Amino acid sequence: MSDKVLQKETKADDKRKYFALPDLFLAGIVICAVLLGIFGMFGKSTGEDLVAVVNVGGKVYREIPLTQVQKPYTLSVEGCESEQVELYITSESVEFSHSPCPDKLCVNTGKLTKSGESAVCLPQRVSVKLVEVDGKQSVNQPDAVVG
Amino acid sequence: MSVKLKERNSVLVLCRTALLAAVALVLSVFENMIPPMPFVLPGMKLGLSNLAVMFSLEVCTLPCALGVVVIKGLFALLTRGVTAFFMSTAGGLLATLGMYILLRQKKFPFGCFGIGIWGAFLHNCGQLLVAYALVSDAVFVYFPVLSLASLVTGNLTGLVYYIVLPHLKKVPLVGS
Repeated sequence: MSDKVLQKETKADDKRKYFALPDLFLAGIVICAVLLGIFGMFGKSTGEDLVAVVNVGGKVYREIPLTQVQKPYTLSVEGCESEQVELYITSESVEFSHSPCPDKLCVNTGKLTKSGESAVCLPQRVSVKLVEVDGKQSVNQPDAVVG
Repeated sequence: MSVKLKERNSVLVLCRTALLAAVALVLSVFENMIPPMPFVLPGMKLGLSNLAVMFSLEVCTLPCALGVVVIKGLFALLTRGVTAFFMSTAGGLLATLGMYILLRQKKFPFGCFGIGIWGAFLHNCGQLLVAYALVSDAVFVYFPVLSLASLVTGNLTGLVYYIVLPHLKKVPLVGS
């Protein structure tokens, strides 16, 4: 197995270090990305007029103004894999209460109470996002674009 | 290069791709067996199968590494559905291309640490972009958390890679 081409490729990196100085540059990029993301989410207040925007498969499925919710109820949403996802909606919060997916990422996200928060069920392509409305701003507009 | 040599070469690449893809699959199955830890958010993964991709980039060619990624994606398609396939493949392709660029240039020798976190970070970015296309912009909320996690997990995979690499290179056929 002593092919010249393959040997050349394998020999070049025989002694790769664990840490080299250029690594700091890469770590810097990632840390910057983290900070950017955190600052992007910063400054979100707990607004009074929250609207829960339910997305299915990239399209807005329903917009629910939470102030108009009198009694907590469960909303069944049919996901893209034609299985039911359940949302528990109260006048102050939204949460995934049931999902057929194995990892239960959306259910584990817990209650959403602040604007800008969101929960996503990827297998069913259902997402819920809380958006603040103050008359002028359209519900569909993103209040922050990160990344 | 004679025709015969070329043929043997391509067979070797094929064998390595198959072997490393198998390694990647086993690693990802093994990773799923690790019980969830309390301080780790759901959805965070160690990314052990990235090790196989890193190794295939080092000892083999770019098509070999891409082959490993695609086979891994097809495995996800079989076991977890279409969404998982797109997520896995997009993340994997982006990470592979990114790491390939790092490994190829000789001017600044990056260490395992840097390549590990770079791979993990790009993997997350690719996945988030696919999630954005499939669902909505709500997924970007996970971006800072995932990036932070990629610092830790990338560091771990880089460390494992650094320890394992000299031994793997001694294996006949696989490590030249």
